Amino acid sequence: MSIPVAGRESAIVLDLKGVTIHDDVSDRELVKGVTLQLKRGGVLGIVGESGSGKSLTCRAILGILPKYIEVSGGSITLLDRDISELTPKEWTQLRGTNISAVFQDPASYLNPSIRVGKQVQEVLRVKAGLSRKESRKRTIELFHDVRLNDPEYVFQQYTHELSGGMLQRVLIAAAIALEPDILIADEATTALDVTVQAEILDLLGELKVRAGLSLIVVSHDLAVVAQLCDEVLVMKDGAVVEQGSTRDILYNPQHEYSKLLISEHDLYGLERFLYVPEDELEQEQLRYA
Amino acid sequence: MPDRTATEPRTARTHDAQTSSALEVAELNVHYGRGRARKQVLHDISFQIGQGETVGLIGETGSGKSTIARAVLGLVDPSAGSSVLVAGRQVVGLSSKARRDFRRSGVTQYVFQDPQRSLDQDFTVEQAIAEPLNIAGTLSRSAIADAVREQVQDVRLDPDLLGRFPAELSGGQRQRVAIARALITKPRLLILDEPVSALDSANRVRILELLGRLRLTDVAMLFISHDLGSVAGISDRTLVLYRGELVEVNQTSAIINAPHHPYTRLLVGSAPTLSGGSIDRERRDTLRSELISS
Amino acid sequence: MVKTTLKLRSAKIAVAMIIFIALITILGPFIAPYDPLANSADALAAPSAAHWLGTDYLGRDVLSRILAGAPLSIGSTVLVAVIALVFGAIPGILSVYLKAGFEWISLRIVDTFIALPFLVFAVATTALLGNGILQAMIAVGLLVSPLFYRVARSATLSVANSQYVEAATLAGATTGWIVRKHVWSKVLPPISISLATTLGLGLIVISSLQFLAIGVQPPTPTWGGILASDLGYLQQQPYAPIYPTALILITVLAFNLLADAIRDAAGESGRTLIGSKGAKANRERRLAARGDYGNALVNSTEGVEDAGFPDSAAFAESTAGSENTAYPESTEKEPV
Repeated sequence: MSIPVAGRESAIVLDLKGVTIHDDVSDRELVKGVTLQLKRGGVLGIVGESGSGKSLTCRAILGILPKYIEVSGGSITLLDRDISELTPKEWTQLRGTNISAVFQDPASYLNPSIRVGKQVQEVLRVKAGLSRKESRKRTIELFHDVRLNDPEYVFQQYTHELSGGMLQRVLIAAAIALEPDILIADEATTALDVTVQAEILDLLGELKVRAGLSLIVVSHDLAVVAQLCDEVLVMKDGAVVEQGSTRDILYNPQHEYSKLLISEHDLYGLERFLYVPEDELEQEQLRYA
Repeated sequence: MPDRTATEPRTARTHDAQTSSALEVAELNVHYGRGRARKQVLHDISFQIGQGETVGLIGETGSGKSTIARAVLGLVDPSAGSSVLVAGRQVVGLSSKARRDFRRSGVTQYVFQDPQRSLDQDFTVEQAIAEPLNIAGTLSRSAIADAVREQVQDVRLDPDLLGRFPAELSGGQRQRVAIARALITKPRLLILDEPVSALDSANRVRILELLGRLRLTDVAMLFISHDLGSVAGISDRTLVLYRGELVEVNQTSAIINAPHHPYTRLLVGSAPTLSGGSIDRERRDTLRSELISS
Repeated sequence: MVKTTLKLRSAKIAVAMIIFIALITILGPFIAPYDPLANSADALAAPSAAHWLGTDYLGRDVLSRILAGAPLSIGSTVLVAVIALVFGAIPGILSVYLKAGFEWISLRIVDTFIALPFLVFAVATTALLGNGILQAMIAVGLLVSPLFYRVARSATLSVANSQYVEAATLAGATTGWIVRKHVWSKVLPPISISLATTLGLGLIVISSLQFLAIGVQPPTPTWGGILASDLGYLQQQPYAPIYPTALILITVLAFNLLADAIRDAAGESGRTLIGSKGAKANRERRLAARGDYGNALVNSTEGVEDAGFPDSAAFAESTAGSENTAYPESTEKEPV
């Protein structure tokens, strides 16, 4: 192919073409052809149940599929590189510096017997080669960036001394420590309280603007994804059943499953009662404030 | 008088309720720990649930919402002066024998969050649903079998599944089994702890439909959740619990549309909705600092 | 559980060996060709048609002595395991449900038993209660019981804290009901693993005692005793110790294999173990199916660690112009 595509390529940080993922134990196709593109600074949402293949797709992008599960077709291009050609060493180089992720249960990704600050500091020392003093200073800055109230204090804490929301912030700090291009948030707010979830979502939105991150937000809840994303993929049983702009999917869903997700909110969610237009609601709140 | 056939107890009941309240909690205080480590987790909780009413109980992790449920169920001993009346019967301070007898009457039932863990993997669907009646031991074997069949149809579960084990069922089917197990004693009060949050969307909608039908009967339901969104569509009234105190009690629509307490306002403003957050980030920040200072 | 276990080849082998040993134990004394205690002039004879395994230093038929010794060796082992099971598993389950006092006392007793060395305790017991096989077995059984106590207790603890037990409690179930209906079926698999292990371990301890002539008096034939007497005549019959040793080894091996098989077959790990066997074959087949495309592909991915999918440069060339239509999903699904 001789057509120069450099300009377009650099705007697209992640490009999946017809990716299929195969489980050799059950001899089944778990993901059936996912095609997606993530633009620099863009936010892409993936919605689906557990088992819909959304997490496997993320793991494939990160090169951390479980044993006996492999990408069996299609291609994944990460920052203009085909990931199937990456050696384990190159992967180590890439993860953290170019792409990183946060997952559902923050406590299990941190060592309980080491102070959390030290663990973030270690990322900076090993990967960015900062000195002890520099890395400590940078960690405190990062903690400040993820809106931890008292960065110096949090630095000295162990995992059991922090709440789930705080731990997730610590992990986000570690994930953005090396200024990656892409951050994947796989059900990162699922285990958190609603008010804390909103805080983390606010934080992700803020980081996107401030640090120029490209985000992939994965959730089972369409509303969570709708808050942040420009574009949404709806997955079911390993296949993408609907893909398009958030607005289109919210107001003009085509597939039965997308309709179900929306009707669930309309019937049983807050939407059922939120008939008051937004500005009136604000008035109301001002009255009680 | 409500339709008696619907509430006719299958098992002997020691006390017939005179009042219209399924649950009356007054001055409920619960402390955990002893000595210096003693900590109050519930502060003067008072509320009541009328017969047939559905009430949501919202609170964040550690707010004490599960403790309220456990106090009502007699799994936690409330501090002196607390009163919990279930269908008119005081359940605080029962002897273990009296408590067991009361439980066997099946007046109160409980549905856990995760049916995968709340069902014994070695029990068939039929054994699981029949267990409360078997424990009560007041009905004959064939009467129990009939009751199970009837209950299975009530919760729209395929009768062919009766011989299956939980591992062979989907998440939604398992939760139906758990709900059938709770309903088989014809309870007056059903406490549900996040009954849909472990399920996927399709099943969530179906279980909510089932609970919606239950609302029409005269079983009272206490629906516990951390997420206002999952309770909103199904409850008549909502109780908001914050750090062991009930900060707001009102009709659900009023809670959502005109929340008073800062925490309720933050909660409503944080709940993700399809149209985006109902308030913007700056206002959430203001509410947060307001909460911290209060 | 029994069904899944028997699907494993190691379990089949173990069961075959156990049946063999059981037959010897039950029928041994009856099919023994000679009186195991009868001396003859023909001492230390080599194996022959008359004496298949030869004769010992007193001219007794070795085959007859081994066959006649089986009930005492295997029987005592089984009894040891049963004693350990009864005195270990039952208090183990009860320790979770009875008052805290029972829990504390039973835990301390178990700690004490763990601290005592087997053989020394058995020797001391026989010295105290008289040199009889029963005394020795009770001593050994008690010393093995902590194993069952621990296993039963930890399995019970995990069930006791489960939600379905709480659900039963909320329905007014008694402790007895919970143990009978919920706990028992969960505690059984780990206990059967321990039982199989203990049967193997027990035979070694029993044979050691018999070797030292503790609990049994010569000339009563036992496998350990035969081994002990054979060792005195190694110069004349260097092969003689092999017979009793082989039987002891087979028995211990069989029970250990069985214990492993039960452990592998029980629960989630069993399913993955059986599943992973097929995984490699499935992968080969999948890659071979892709061979329709370009034969080079299969070769190039073989042996490469991250061989998730084919060299995409070559792939892109062959499918130039199309993005994701080229993949023959149908060939992947077709059973080969």
